[in-house]
Amino acid sequence: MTRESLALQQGELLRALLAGGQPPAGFDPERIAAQTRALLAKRRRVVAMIRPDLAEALGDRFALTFTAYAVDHPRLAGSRAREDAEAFGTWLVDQGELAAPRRSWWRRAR
Amino acid sequence: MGQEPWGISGPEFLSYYLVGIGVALLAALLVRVAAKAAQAGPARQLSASELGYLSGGPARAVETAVARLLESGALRASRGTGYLVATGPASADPLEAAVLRKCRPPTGYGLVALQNRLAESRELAAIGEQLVRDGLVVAPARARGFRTLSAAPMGLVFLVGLARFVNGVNLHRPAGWLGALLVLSAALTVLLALLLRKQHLRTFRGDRVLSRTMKARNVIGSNEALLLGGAAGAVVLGGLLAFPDRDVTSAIYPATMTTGSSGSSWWGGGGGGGSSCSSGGGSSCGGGGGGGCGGGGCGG
Amino acid sequence: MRTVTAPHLGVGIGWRPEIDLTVERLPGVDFVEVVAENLHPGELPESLRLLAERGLPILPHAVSLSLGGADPVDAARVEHLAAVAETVRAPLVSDHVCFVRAGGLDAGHLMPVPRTREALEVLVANVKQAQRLLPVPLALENVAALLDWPGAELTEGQFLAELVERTDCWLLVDVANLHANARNLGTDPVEFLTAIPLERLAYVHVAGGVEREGLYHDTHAHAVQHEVLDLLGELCSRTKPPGVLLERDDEYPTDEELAAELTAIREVLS
Repeated sequence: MTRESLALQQGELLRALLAGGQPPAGFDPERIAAQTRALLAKRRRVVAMIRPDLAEALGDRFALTFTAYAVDHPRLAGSRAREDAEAFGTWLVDQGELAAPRRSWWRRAR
Repeated sequence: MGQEPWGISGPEFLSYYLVGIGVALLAALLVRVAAKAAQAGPARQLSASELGYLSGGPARAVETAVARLLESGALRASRGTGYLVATGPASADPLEAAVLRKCRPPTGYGLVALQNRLAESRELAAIGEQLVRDGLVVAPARARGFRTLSAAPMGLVFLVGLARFVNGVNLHRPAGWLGALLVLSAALTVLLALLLRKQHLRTFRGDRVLSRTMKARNVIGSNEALLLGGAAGAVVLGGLLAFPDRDVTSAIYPATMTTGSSGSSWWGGGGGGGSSCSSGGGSSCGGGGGGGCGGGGCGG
Repeated sequence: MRTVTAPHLGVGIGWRPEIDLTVERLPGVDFVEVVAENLHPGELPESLRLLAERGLPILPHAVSLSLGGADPVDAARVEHLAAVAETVRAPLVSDHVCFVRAGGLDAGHLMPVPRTREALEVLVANVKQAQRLLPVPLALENVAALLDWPGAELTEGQFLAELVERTDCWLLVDVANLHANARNLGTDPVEFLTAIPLERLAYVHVAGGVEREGLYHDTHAHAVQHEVLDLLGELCSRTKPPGVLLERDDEYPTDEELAAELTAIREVLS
C-alpha cells in the first residue's frame, strides 16, 4: 500500500528534523541539520509573535531556552500554533525559568 | 436665646466662611503662580519630542515621537493588530529611536503599552530634566509640593467649618446653609489636591515658548514649520487622536477608546492642558496653551 | 465545470493583518491573497471588507492541507478553505505541493514530497478528494526546499505536469521557490518552465529571501532578489501570467519599499 510506505518515509524525516531522530538513509546530513535549524527558527519566531511576553521576559536567553525545549517537545500534528506557544509558556513556569504569569493573561486573551 | 457658639452668630459665620473660601482660592492661585514663575534658563531650539513633552508631559512626548515616525514611514500602524511596528529606517532623535527599538518586529506595541514601557525610560527622563533645567517645566517633585500647598488653605477652611458644623449639630442649631458650604469647601479641597495630581506643570516661560513655537510653525520656511508643519504639530497640541490620518488613529485607538476617555487616562487626561486653563491664571491659556484644548485629546 | 482560461488578476500583494492599512493604500494593487487558516468564514476583518467592497479579487491561500502527506485529507481543513472562499467570493483557491504533518508531528512548514510515482499517486488521490469538497478551482504551488529526497523518479517540472494532467488542477508558480530549488537542489529552472503546462498557470508568486551559509532561505522577510525577478522575466517570455503576487510575511519594510517591489514586478511584466 503506497500510503503506508510514504507515511513511514515522511514520519522518519520529520522525527529526524523535529525530534532528534536519526537522519533517514539517502539524505545529506548537513542539509538535514540546516533544515532542522530553519524549522526551529521559524517555530521560535511564531512563538515569539504569539507570546511576545515570553520572549521579552527571557531576553537573550530566549533562543537557547527554546532550543532546549523544542527537541523534547516537537509540535504535534493537529495542534495549533497558539497551543504550541502556550505549552512553551507552561513549560517555562514548570522549569522555574519564569514565575507564574500574573499580568500576561490579557496578552494571552488577545 | 442661648449664647452664640464661638461668640459668632450663624449668618455672621456664614459670611466669614464664604470669605474664607475666597481667600483659600486666591491663595491656591498665588501658589500656582509662584510655582510657574520658575527661574529662566538659556533659550534654545526644542525638538519635536521635547515640544510634545512641554505641551502634555511624557505621554504626549511619546505620542509626538510616534506621530513623526508614522508620518515618515519608520513606524507602521495596523488595523488588524492595533500595534505599532518599526519598518526599518532609524531616527536621530533619542526618544524616537527608543520608540523604534521597543516596536521592533515581529510584534511591536500598542500605544498605551508603549507609553507604559517608556514611562521609566532614560530618554523621557532626559527630556524632562532638560526642560526643567531650561526653566520650561516645573520639576515634578516641586510641582507636587506646590500642589499640596495650594490645597492646604482650603483644607483648613473645611476643617474649621466642620468643627462649627459638629458643634452646631450638638447644640441642635439649624446648620443647613453651613452644611452646603461645607460640601463646597470639601469639594474644592479635593479638587485642588487631586485635579492636578498627575498633571504636568509648565512654567510661564514654558507657556510662552510653547505658544510662540506653535505660532511660528505656520511661518513657511521656519525651523518650527520644518519640525512641526505636518502631523507632529497637531499631535503636540492634541495628542495622537489629533493625528490627521483618521484611518491611522482608528487603527491605533480601537473603537471603544476613541469614543471614551481611556486613551488619555495615563497621564491624567488629555484635559491636562484644559484643566490648567480653568484653574490657573488666564495668562497661561494664551495662544498655544489654549490651543492645547483644540485637538481631540482634550475632553478626556 | 472546468474553467478554460484563468481569470485575469494583474499585480497583487499578500494581505496580512500587520500591513492591512498599507495594502489598502498601495498604488496599483489589483488583487490580494489571504492565508485561509487565519480567517474565520463569515467574519472578515474590516480591511478585507473594504477591499472586497472596492471589487478587488481576494484569493484564499491555504498552508495546512498537507496534500502531499500520506494521511488522508482532513476534510475539516478543506471545508474551512471552501467556506473562506465563499465568504470572499474567490475565483479560485490554492495550497502547496507539500506535506506538513507526518508521524504525529507538525513541521509548521511546507515540506517537499519525494518525487516518486508512489508519492504522486497519494498526492493525486488527495488533490482529487480536496477538489470534490471545494466550490472553486484549486491551484497548487511549488515549494522551496533546503533538502532533497533520495530516489527521485521525476524532475519537479515533470512531477507537476503529471499532477496537472491527472487532477486538472491549476498551477501557482512561485519563482522565488524555483530560484531556491535551483540554488539549493540544482533544479534547472528552464527545464521546469518547459515541462509544466503553462496554460494551466493561475498566477505567480514573487517573494524575498536571503542567502545564508551557502543556502537560499525563502524567508518572505527580506527584499526580492534580482535573480527571482529574472526568473519571472524568463516565465513571462513564455507566457503572459494572469497574475503576479508579492508575498511578504515578516520584517515588513516601509510602504515605499513595498511599492518599489510592486513597481519592479510591473516593469518585468511590461
